[in-house]
Amino acid sequence: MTSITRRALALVALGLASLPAACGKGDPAGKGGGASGAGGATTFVYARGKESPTLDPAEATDGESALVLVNVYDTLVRFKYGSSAVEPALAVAWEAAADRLSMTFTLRDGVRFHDGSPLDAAAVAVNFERQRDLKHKFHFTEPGMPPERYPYWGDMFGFVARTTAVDVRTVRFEFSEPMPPFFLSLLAMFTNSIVSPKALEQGAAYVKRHPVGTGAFVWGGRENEEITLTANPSWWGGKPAIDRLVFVVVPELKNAYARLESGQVDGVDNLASKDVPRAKANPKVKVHEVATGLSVCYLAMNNDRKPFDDVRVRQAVALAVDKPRLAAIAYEGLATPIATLVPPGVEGHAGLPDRARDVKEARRLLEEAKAVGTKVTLRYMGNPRPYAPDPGAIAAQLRDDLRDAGLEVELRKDEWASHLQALQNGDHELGILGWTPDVPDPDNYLYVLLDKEGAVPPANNVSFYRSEKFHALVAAARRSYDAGERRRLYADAQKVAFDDAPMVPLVAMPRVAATSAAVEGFVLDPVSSPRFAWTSKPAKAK
Amino acid sequence: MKAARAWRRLRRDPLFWIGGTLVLLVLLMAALAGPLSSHAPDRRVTLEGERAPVAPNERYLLGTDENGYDVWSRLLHGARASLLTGLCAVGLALFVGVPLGAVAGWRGGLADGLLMRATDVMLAFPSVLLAIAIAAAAGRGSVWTLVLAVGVVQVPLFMRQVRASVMAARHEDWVTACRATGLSATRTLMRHVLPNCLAPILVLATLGVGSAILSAAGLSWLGLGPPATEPEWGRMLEEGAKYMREKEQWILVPPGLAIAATVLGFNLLGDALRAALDPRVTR
Amino acid sequence: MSVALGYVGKRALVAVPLLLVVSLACFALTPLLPDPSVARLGQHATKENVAAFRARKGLDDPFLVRWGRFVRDAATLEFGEDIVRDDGSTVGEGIRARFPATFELALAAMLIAVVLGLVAGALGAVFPRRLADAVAQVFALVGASVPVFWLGFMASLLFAVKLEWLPHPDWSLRVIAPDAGPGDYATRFLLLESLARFDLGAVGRALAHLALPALVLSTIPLAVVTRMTRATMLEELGRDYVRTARAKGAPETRVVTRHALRNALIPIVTVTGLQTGALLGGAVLTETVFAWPGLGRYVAEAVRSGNGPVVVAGVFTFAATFVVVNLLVDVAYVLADPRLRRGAR
Repeated sequence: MTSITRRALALVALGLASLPAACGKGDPAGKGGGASGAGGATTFVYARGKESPTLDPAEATDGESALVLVNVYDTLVRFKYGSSAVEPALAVAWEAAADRLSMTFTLRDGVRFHDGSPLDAAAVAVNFERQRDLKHKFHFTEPGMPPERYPYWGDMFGFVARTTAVDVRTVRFEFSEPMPPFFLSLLAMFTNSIVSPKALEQGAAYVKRHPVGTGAFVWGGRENEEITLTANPSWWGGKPAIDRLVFVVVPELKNAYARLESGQVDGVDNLASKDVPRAKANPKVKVHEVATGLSVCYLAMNNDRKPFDDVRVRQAVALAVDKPRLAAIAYEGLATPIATLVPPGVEGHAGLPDRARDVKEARRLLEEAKAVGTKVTLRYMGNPRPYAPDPGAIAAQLRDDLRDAGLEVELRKDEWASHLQALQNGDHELGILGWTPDVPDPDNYLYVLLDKEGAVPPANNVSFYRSEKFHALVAAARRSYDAGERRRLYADAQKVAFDDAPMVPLVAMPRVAATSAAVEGFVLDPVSSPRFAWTSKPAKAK
Repeated sequence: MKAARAWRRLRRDPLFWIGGTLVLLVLLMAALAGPLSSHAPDRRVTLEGERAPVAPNERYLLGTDENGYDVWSRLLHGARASLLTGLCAVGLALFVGVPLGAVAGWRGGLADGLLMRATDVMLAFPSVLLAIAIAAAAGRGSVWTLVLAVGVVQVPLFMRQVRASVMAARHEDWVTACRATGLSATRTLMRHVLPNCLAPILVLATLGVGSAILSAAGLSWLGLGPPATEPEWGRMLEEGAKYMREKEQWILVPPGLAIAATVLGFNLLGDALRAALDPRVTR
Repeated sequence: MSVALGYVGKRALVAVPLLLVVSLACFALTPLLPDPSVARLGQHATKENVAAFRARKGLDDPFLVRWGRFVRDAATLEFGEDIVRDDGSTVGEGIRARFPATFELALAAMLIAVVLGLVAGALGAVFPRRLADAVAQVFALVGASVPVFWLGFMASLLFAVKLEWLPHPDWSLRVIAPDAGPGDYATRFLLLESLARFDLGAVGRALAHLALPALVLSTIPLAVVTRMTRATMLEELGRDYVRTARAKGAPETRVVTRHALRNALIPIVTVTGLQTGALLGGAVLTETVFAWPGLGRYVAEAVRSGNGPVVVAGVFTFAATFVVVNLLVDVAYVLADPRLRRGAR
């Protein structure tokens, strides 16, 4: 990200500005029924594994919530469809001050929330202020109770000092320190969705259950775990081709995929790696992959605990793990083995050659460290994650790999929430975990997962790696606006981490989804959850 | 005498022989799991270059699952886990249920009323749900979690059976005779009454092993049992049933059949015992 | 009639204390389950946070107070606020939304089991020790021995994936009654309401989606119903009135169906009522296999996600259903057979 002052290109606005023409026909939004009765109306059913815990963008952190949010809400800027580049959305132009201590956004004209109220600078400012200011009347967390801070704001937006409405169309952000080079990408995250102030007035419970935004789809309602959205006929981006978008929950991937094959759903949010070859061979099904895998899976070693406080043991573990085999078998060849946490395809990835598996050398190192035959526990999660479609298989492989080198590994499985909690509290020796970045920047991998500042329980740095050398490099890169320098600093940091081997980066996992072959215009975003504004599906013949 | 008569009846019952054979087979599988299995049951055994799951061949009698674990060896060792769970769960239920049932039946009155209402309430719970709650509360999944969950659920069944038998015996002449000779109540109960209730307990226990194995497999399948690498039939099914596939049946069919055959064996055996021990039941 | 009504009233009155005791037993599960404040507050919570939260939500009140609250909340079917979700919804909302799906599944399974069990058991009693008898008995026993989750998986593999005869069960209004207007099917009993509306298309779709899970679940009570039918029928067929009927020259089918079967029905119905417990338990597994949006799966998921209050309320709903079903069974056969109104039990 070299240039930080950007003007929106008229070109982008062109495609999106020709909107009000399209909204004359179509059934009125908000009606749940009548999909087949209304003649040409199309319903798109998308299967996912879990329901959305919350629909308040400020407090959401998970993909299931994001899936609904990105379709109901807009952000000031958004990720270009199918890419991680940023383009104008509710803001059409922006400019940063030379000292990078403030930034001004100009809003799009004539945008209205689903409840009819207009989108103006005050509405935008409220959405940021309510996240920043713990005392704000729309800061819906309980004082003194965790999470007191909204999680994303607390982690990533500490530098935002104030957001103000300069005039009806202009919003200004003021920063307490120079803004990071990836600020625009942060603004495109679902957590910065612009919620209707009228909805916020209704209180926390209402916002959690009834998203009211400006986006392509309007909240239609929820029946058990099934969420219905309807097309917003007056969306500034043009009325979506799908009239009704239904998110259903099918807890197991195999069941979801079977329903896709039988035509009972139009798309599945996640595909078991072992179903992929079969899906690719089926002419009725289309498999969608993101070319670069941003989610990474790693084997965390607790550097605070014996025997992993010894670098030789950690290196031995790194040598013993057979990543190509893991990628081929546990991931069915979908994932790419990685040598460093920053996956290939992300700007700043250091092309380090990985260690080749060498059981003899690993054993020698373990003998040197007097750790042969040590009993250790490998903790893994019971639920599939985007980066670990089959955690049991990964754990089993790792266990067998490490046994070959001479470590006695026992497995322990926990449900996701308690697994994460255990690792974050350092209650583990070995643990499988992964990361899906919020923004595709090396900082979001290296600082978050390996910096010493993150090694305090509840830690994101679950390896509890505390290297001063590494910290100096990553901190310097955070402050740098020079692309070349940043790349160099990150390359050095990755080399340091590679040699210290605080964890073993295993694989990078691309997102995989599938739709029926007749669906058009469905593209998986590398960062954002699937958006359906540009997806269409032929109306059923019968 | 009674035993001899029962045996004569049993001998003529084909269902006894079928059930007995099935149970014997499972016992043999469990006992000879070591020598009979071709590979280690709890680790990857596929060779470099072999792509798991491997179809059955001369190296892997029943193929391997997708972790590269040998299905045949896991099946054999799984028999151990299943029998262990079933027998221990019933043992637990006996250990708790028999004394409580005996007290209720022997004492009668308030103790009886309270205990029986307690069983009423326990029986009003869907046993699987109760077992799920117990297993979840017991925390870390292992075979013993399953034993606890499944065993507790069976306690009220034994309480009721023992109570009924003890009650029936309490008023019989020979019990009165025992008491009249000055034998203490406890002694009469332990030495004379309980041994006479053995037949129905035996029947219930046999049937109980079957249903314990079935419930344990269900819990294990829900992910509340031992970790994935342990050879356990319910677990093997969970691992195997991750994908809707028509091929690769060798992963799914053997453990399912093994559970069904084992449970059927115990059920048949229990039925046959009941028919043989209780002359009122006609077959 | 008034005698009958009096009996019904008496039975219902007995059920009330039983339900209270059941609620006590359910509520006693609470300390066994994970602390809901942990699920609510997440990994960042300190001990003080948890303590403050528990105090505010009354989780540390004396047991009897909390139980009293539970009984009060259960009586309104709201079961109190869902403190884990914390979005203003009540526990009861989730329970009530999912109960109909489980109820209809269990009802269908029970009907299948009773019909098949009666036929198989009667056949076995009429032709004892013959091939039909052996086949019927072994078949029922095999059904009871096969794990439902495995059977369910294999059945969907065969009928939904390979043969494509039946859909993968998808029990939602969108699928069963896509043309429903607002307010239609508000009861959520999709099959019963579509029958009541005489919406044949919806009935057909409901049956198609219900078929696989109901058949699989019916294997649980099938063996017991079959065995019970056979045993009581054997007994009845040996009685004098049957001999009399035969001697009078009544056709054998008439003797079996009109006389013996009718008299055998009472113990069969009793056993059927008692099997509801096993059936509802089996529903947990069946619902999980078929992704059925029922109460069993909801409770099983609540166990995993640590939502204790939902678990307690769900288990209570199941147990209360069991109690009520058995009450209805009692009442039904007393109404059907006046002889039973007098005497003990």
